[in-house]
This record gives sequence, C-alpha cells and structure tokens, in this order.
Amino acid sequence: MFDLWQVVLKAWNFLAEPFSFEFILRAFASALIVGTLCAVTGSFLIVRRLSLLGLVVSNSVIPGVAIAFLLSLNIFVGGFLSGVLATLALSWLQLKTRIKEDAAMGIVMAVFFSLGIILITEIQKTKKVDLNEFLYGNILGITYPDLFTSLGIGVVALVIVYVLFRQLVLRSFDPLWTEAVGLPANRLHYTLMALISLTVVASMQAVGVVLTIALMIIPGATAYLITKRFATMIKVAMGLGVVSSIVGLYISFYLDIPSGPSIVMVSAVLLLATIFLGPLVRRLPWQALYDRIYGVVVLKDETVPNTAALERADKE
Amino acid sequence: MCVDLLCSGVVMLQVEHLSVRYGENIALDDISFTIPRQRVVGIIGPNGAGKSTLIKAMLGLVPLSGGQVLLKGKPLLPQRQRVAYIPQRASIDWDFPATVQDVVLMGLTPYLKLSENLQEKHYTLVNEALNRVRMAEFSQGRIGELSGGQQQRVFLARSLVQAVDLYLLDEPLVGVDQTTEQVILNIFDELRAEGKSVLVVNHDLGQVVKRYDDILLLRKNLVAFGERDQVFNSENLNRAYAGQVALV
Repeated sequence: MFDLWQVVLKAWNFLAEPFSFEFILRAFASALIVGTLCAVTGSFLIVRRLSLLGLVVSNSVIPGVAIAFLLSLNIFVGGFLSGVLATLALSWLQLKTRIKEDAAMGIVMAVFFSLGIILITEIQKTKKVDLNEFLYGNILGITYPDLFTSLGIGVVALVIVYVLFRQLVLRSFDPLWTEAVGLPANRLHYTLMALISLTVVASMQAVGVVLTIALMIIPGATAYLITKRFATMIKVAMGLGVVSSIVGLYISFYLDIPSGPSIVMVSAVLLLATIFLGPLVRRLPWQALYDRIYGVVVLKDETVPNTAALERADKE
Repeated sequence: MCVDLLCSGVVMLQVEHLSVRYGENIALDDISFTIPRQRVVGIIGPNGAGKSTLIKAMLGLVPLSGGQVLLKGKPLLPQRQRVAYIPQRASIDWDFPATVQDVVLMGLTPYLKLSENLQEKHYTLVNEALNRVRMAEFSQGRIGELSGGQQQRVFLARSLVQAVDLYLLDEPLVGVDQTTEQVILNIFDELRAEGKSVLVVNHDLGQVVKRYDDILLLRKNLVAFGERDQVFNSENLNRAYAGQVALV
C-alpha cells in the first residue's frame, strides 16, 4: 500500500541531507543573500533598459579585486571601487565623445576585463589563485568571513534602496522630470551605479562575475512579464531569485554539477515556464491573484485585457 | 527700485535676456518677457524655433548661456519644486511597470520626506487629480495600456497634485483625442480661475489658440509677445514663420 509517511520521510531526508554539511549551510545562506540582492538592483536595471550595465560592472570589478589582492587590501573594497570607476568611465565616454552607450559599454567592459586578466595572470606567477573562482564563483567554498561580508554589503545595499525607493523609481521612470522638480537626478543615477557595484562584489564569490548578470536580469525579467507595478515586480523578482538559488543548489548537490550555472539554469527554466504557462494561468478563476499579479501577458500578440473599457472611454 | 507689476505681487514669471547656445548654434537669443498671475500663455513658432528649449532652459534642463529666470521675483532654479513641468509624452518609456495611480503619486515625491509613508490624504489628492482629468476609472490600470491622450491626462494629473502656481507644458495637445483636448483646455481655465499661470508650447495655429490669453511668438528670438488679439495677426505670424503660413 502507498505509504504517505514513508514518502514524507524520504522527502525530508532529501531536503535535509545537504544540511548535514556545514559548508552547504553556508552556501544556502549565501544563495539567499545573493538571490535577493541581485533581484532588487537588477529590477532597476531592467526598467531603465540598462541590463547590460550589469555585465559591464561585473566584468569590471576584476582588476580592482586583483590590485587589492596584490596590495593585501580588502578585495571587496577594491572590486567595488573598480566597478564604480567603470561606470564613471562609461559616463565620461558618452559625455565627452559621440560614442553611444552600447559601444561605450563594449569598450569599458573589454578594457577592464583585459586588465583584470593580465593582473591575475601576474599574481598566478607567484601565488596560487584560481581564475575560475573569480569568473564562475564557488558557492560551496564560501568561508564565514566572506559570508558575513556579503551579508553586510547586502544589508547596506537593501537599506539604501529602501530609503531612496520612491526617488530611485522616479529617476528610472522619468529622468527629465526628476531634474525639473529639483531632485538630485544625477546623484540618484550614480547611487544606482554604486548599488550595482555593491551587488556584484557581494555576489562574486557565490556565482562569479560572469554569472552575476544572470541573477540580476533573469528573475527581474520574469517578474516584469507578470506584474503591472514596479513595487510588485521587485518582490516577485526577489522570490524568484531566492527560489532559483535554493533549487539550483539542491540540483547542484545531488547531480554534482557546478552551483553557479545550476542556479542560473533554474532561473531560466522559471522564465520559460512563465512564458509558456502564463497564458494558461490566465484562464484559471483566480481573480484576486490576477488583480495583483498582472494578467501574464507574456506573448506579445495576445490581446491586452481592458481595451474594451479604454475604447469606451475614448468615445465619450 | 519698485516697478508697478512686481510690487503688487501679481508677477508670476520673469524671463530676462535668456539665451541658449549649442556650440556655435544659437537656439534662443536674448528672450525677455514677464507673465503675470492668472494668464494662460501659448508659445507658438515653427519647428526648431526653440519652443521646448525655452521651457527646458527656464527649468535648468539645458544650460543657459546668458540671462536669468525669476519666479515671483526670486531665481527660479532653487525653487523648481514650485513649478509643474509636463514633458513631452514621447520622452518616457510607457512600458514601465506602473499603474496610473503610481504615476500620479510620483507627483508627490519631491514634497515627501524620505522616511514619510504614503497616507490616506495622499491617495485622496491623487484621486481628486484623476477625477479632474477624468481618468479616475483607470487608476488601477497599467499605463502601457492607455491611449496617447489618456497618457497625457495622467501626466497632467501628476502635475496637478504638485499644487503649485506655475505650469509649464510641452506640447500637451499633440496627437490627442477630442476628449483629452477638451479636458486639458478646461483645466487651463480652472487653473487661471485659481490664480495660477500656465505656459503651453503649442504646435498648431487652429481653434486652440483662442483659448490662450497671451501669445508668445518665437523664432529663436522673441518675435512678439502680448495679448492674443494684438499679437496673433498675419504680420507677426509671417515674421515667425518666414511667410510659410497664412491665417485663414
């Protein structure tokens, strides 16, 4: 006979087993922090159409990390400064030349990344440093000091977003108006750039600089499809980021595959599921949910609800 | 020194010798005018005459190469939060995830402390503004689903919650439906009755012009400024449009 108790017990063992290792516990804690933080700052990038900026900043922290390592300084501080420097270089190129944003991004990213690789190769001649750990992260190798630094950075960044939320949203929606009413539009822009840099340094050891962009963009993009308000979008993105991180870690543990890519693949599966299952969910009679979470209009050719009401109003 | 209008407290806006240059190009040359309270002023001129630039320059969105702008006798820039600006609709991304209510609430952002939470009174203000522009029924709708005219009305509602005395509108009537045009023109009348001043960049020379008290004709420099009856004639229009237009 089908024994429910046995199934529950097996499921419990399945879920709990990884936690018998302390390093896994640290990995889960790290995944929670990184999943939340990336989703929040990444959501701003998406609505500002600056998603690739996440890629620029994440690749640009490498030289800072390397220099800090060479000078025996804090690598988080070095990476952060390097990331901020990259965003300044980006603005400078656009302001002083006719080079457009996309080209400027390509230039800054390539130059900083190259410099980083040169520096790290130099370091490798005398010390044993694994370049792959920078690029792809190693969430299973996270130490307690790293975890707490990451937590500290994450808390600081989230508090800044919380306090400045209204102004950051306004700056993202209508930069011209933000300036016209006398709010510090430029300062808000650079605050966001600094937040992106903080996000990257907090995440680099867990998922690596190459994959941080995925955690910033994929949960946010998924949430963007199914929400009609930015505040809701950020919350949904956080949820998706955390779920992706945790499920990704389990898969990584049981299938013995690299954890960063595993997390990214889970978030991508969630995105695809939203795209293809979204239209089906709309047919379910969950009006209350439907009112909060936007009508899952994911495929562009689908008619948008409420158009009838709009036309009526126009004819008035 | 005390000059008539200024002392009686009826002067809203003074623009003095305002000039804007983009490199070698002169966009606006030595513009001076004064707008009293309770006036609705239409800014008229051909494409490239600097109509939008004039409004942006007043708000410090493009750098001045000369001159100054005063609001109620004091420099305008430090008191920008006392001016309502309605940018061109095309200037923003309407796919942004926000409801109509969210956008109108943004109009309160400059006046809220960072720590201040939105309260009932703020939502009441927003609902009043949405009622005035006849958009209340869309308050929970997504802005991306609105028609162009409705989006324009949402922008107008966002500036109505600012509760300020000077309104600067950049082409609010371009490509909007009849309902929206009527709503916007009626709001101009209401604002005038409340003692406020309105500056509107206008794109056509049709019936709408009759709703303005004063006309400011622009062609990089100030062609003419004054009451509509005295300024809006074929002689001035020919000077502004270089003979490209005829009054029917």
